[in-house]
Amino acid sequence: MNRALVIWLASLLPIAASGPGEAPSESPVSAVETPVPVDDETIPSAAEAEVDVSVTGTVTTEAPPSTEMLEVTQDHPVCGDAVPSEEVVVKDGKLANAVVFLDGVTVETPPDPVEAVLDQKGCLYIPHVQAVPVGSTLTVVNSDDVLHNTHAYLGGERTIFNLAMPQKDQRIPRPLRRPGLVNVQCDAGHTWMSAYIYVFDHPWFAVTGPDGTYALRNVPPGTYTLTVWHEKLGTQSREITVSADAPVVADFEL
Amino acid sequence: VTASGSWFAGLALALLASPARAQTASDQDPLVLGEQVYRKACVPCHGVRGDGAGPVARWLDPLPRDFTLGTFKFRSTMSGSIPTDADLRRTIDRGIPGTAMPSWQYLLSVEERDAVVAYVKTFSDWFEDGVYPEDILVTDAQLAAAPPETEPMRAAGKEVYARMECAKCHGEDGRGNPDNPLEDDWGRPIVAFDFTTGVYKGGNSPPDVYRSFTTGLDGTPMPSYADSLDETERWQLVYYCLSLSRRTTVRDWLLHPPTWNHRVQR
Repeated sequence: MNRALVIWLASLLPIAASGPGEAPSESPVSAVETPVPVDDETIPSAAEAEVDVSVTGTVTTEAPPSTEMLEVTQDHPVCGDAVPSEEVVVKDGKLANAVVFLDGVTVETPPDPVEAVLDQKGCLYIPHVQAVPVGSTLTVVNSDDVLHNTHAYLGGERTIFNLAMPQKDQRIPRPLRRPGLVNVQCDAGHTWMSAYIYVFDHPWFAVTGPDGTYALRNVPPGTYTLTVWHEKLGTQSREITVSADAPVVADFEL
Repeated sequence: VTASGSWFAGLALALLASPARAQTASDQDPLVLGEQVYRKACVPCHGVRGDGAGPVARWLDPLPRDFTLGTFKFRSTMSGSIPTDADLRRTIDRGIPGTAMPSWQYLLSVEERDAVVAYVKTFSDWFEDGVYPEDILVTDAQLAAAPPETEPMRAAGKEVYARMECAKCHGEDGRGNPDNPLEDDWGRPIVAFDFTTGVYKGGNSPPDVYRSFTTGLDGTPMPSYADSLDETERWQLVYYCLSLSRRTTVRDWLLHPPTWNHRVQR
């Protein structure tokens, strides 16, 4: 593995739900609890960025954060009476859970797959949004003592898996074989549950952390379309030109 | 099945009657033959583009399958996977009970049915990679090894039904749970199967029901239980669910009258 690849894989750790270093043999609880937090220390800011950080920026919005509580209509002992909406997560105008990526690029060798995790805990999906390379394995975990019916669609229409998960601590690995936006819902009547997994066939993508920042590493010099996607606030694209000398700063306001 | 559904299926059969057969030639490209057969037999419902929007589709309920997404209910493969050729042939051969899809077993030759399987696969790029061997969940050997149906098996199946929370969609009595409205992959309302009807769309033999429980029915909320139940538990559940539609005494009929056409079962 060359250095660039190692750095890129390392960069996935805070971005995806879990990094490649996480062996499936870990206990379900630790496997799902550790990867989720994305703190300021793990994503270098533009100032600290080294040369291999090619594109960086912040996604902001004037939209108010989702404050509503979604009504829980069944399984109250496990799910509670209401769960917080995770649609718009904003702090000081900085938008989390937005996916920033190079649009329409192709690579000869697809990026190395990772072991990603989607946990169901307290009748919420954790993480709510993640991005992974194509060919990765998504291990679906049920940490709840209730039936979850984990139904994933590619492009909002094509079922890619539909799993009954009636047992607590059940883990089912499923391959993510095609690129695109995968949304997950629970057909067991938990209508408030939703998660997104953006699957890419190239390595240049990132999910914004709680501070709204992202960084794309090792982008070859050239002109690209940079796109941001957010589940509620939509998409936006801009053209960027990447050079070898300094990182491009590309901010978005959704 | 709606009355109009049967009528149109009958029309399709009548239209098919002779010409396609006359042209059958063994040295033909299967896709050429498949297209010929498809145009005569399948287009009225499934449409020229295979999108399920044929000219008579608007009168059918459930709607004809849209082949373009490569999503199929009746498979021996994992949820989200394409079906095998044998799976598609089975559906074509038998038709789908409770829908307008007729059995083609005695209307098309084996060659024609195989050719139309090949042609249907051209409507979706999901067939390009073929079936991944690791996606095949149900084998003939597994089905042949079915344990015999016994009263303890059915009783255990009732417990599996409770433990798997089947009642969440199918109701405690197997007739559906109206408190849990469901949608199919196309966003249309869908009703969970009423086991007391006995009209299983994927077939009502124990192996057929076993297959559906194992793989789930793609396009519907019915999930795969392949990872949640071992093989014995699946057979127990099969025998219990099949027993829900069995009426052997007058008392059964009075207490559990059939619910044909009370609701459309998609």
